[in-house]
Amino acid sequence: MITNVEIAENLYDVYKDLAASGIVTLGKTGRFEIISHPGYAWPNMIYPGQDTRLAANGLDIPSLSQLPSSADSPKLVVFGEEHATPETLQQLSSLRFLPATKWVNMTARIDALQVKNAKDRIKCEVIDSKKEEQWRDWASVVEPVLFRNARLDSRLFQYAEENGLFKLLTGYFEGQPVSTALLYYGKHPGFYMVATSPGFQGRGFAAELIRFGASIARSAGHDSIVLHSTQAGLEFYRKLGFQEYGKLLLYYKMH
Amino acid sequence: MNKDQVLSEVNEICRVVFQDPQLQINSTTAAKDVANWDSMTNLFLIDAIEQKFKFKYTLDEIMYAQNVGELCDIIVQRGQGE
Repeated sequence: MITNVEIAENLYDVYKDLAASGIVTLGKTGRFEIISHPGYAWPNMIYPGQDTRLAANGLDIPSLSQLPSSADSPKLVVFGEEHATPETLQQLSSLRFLPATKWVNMTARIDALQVKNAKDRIKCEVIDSKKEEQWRDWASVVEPVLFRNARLDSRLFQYAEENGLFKLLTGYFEGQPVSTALLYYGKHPGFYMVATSPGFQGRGFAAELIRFGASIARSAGHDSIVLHSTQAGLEFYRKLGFQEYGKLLLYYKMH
Repeated sequence: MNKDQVLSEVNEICRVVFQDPQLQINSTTAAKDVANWDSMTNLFLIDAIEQKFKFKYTLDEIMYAQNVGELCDIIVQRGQGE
């Protein structure tokens, strides 16, 4: 069974792998690590350093007061709910880090995914982000749905593809890109950036793309898959057969 | 600035935060009335208002404000719209 800590670790490892690209900036504040990509929507995050990830070790919250105040510095800190002691949350409040949202860690066995055939089928493809048209198709769904139209850096995704870290998936309906997902290979393969354009939601397209991505993970020898759902996405993933394994808490640093 | 003027400024901030150039808010506008107004964007909104009017809401004010009107009332009470 995958634990909450392992799923969180898996996500932190994605950031660590991306940091090796040299395209993003990696920093530290106390025992937190900071990944930032000024001018781009992602990745920009503060997360527990290697030596404090277990709840028993606690989080070095006071160090967050030392964060750089530049506009380019990440403002979101993410950590597992096992760290959310009353004392930790009190310290965060006193530093004006306020609860922004929660991600529910979920996992499913690939062979147990419950995906019905949608009435309208999409054509699912693994894209090559070096090809401008394919990249724009993928970004044209993800950027408005998940990043408030802020730009993603194609070079970072190209690096991840070339190094076997990511596969970017696009679902096309009648030739139009409508759904996306990012399949990443950490210790556990996982989905990230699952998005469907507003006019096409509720038609089973994302589920179909997840089934497609899961089949790729299975072909690579994996038997389960993880993701982090927002509260709004919980029911959708439960219906697909994903089960909950704890939460990641995201706190936002007020000005 | 009176409350109407503050509301007008806050409307501009809301249009940016909620990515709706046509958005028209009033004193009773609340999260349920605006697409994309969730716990995350609520903090973006508060942050943007604080930076615009150069003050800080208390944590209680952030947690318990029910609508745009209450956020604007606090700005006016603090004399931040001058």
